[in-house]
Amino acid sequence: MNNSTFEESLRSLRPAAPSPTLEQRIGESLAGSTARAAEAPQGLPASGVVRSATGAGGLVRWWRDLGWAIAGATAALLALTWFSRETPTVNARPETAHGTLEMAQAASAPDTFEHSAASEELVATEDATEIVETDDGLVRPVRYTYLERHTWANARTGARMEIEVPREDVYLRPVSLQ
Amino acid sequence: MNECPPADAWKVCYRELAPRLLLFARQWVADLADAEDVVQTAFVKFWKHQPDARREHWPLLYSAVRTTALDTLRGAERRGKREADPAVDVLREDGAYFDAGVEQREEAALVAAALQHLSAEQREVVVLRVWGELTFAEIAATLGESINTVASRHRYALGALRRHLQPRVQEREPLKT
Repeated sequence: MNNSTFEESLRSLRPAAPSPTLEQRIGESLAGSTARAAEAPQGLPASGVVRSATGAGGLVRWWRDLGWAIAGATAALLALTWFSRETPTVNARPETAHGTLEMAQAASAPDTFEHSAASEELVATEDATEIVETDDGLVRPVRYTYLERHTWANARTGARMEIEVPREDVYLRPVSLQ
Repeated sequence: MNECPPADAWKVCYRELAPRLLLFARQWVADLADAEDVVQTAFVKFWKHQPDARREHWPLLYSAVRTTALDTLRGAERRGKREADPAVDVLREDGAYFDAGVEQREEAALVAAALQHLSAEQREVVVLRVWGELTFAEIAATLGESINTVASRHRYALGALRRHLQPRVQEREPLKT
């Protein structure tokens, strides 16, 4: 008897039906959730974009918002004026010096690509089905597939070069037939 | 124009799938009342997202039952309500899992007992395949496994079921192995 016939004979047993109250409970749960959705206030949708109300107060709100915007812009302008007066060229120097130092270091670095990183990732393992006879006895070849990644970086320009190399290693595993 | 499904469209889907979903849920939740709660929670959750559920959505429904059942099981374990390994309790009430008449009652008991000997992974595949009537691709989607894995688990599960049913069947005829 093959598997499909065996499956069919198992299938002849029908799973037991749940109690009738389950259908009723599910109906009540679904009806409850539908009713809750219908009762949700129109102005407050459950999801999506909440539209702002428009009406007679719209013009007043517009003037109020404009006032706040102007006040914010004025405060920002005053702060900028104040700080530009408090921080003359003295404060700017260290940043410039720091930036200059980095640039100098980069400029002094050799304009060559140097190997900066390497990694390997095991992609697949393939166990051969055939067994090979060698001088050392029976062995089974097992193929490991790796992906090697090498990165080179140029310190002067900041350029990076990355290459991926597939690699396969075949190991011969001794097999015992006992 | 999209037509809204009728208000009780869920009943068609429910009546077709409820026994299978319940059997699937009882792999993890042995108690019938708890298993029905699992089916209810999963079905309501599913139907809210898929009110026009079609055949191709069924794996999602089984998946929802599985997730809910496992959540329930974890909750019960946390509360310390289950004193023993849950796998031991699975499918323990033989006939109750199948809607068997008098002539099939013994068969149902044998099959339910044989299912207990399968690993949880094999059992869920065989239940989905045989009684859920899902394809291997649908089972793979439900369980988040590859089709090859699912197919091999099913093959081993059928083999194990045969081995457990064989001695009993030699004594009596009905279930062909």
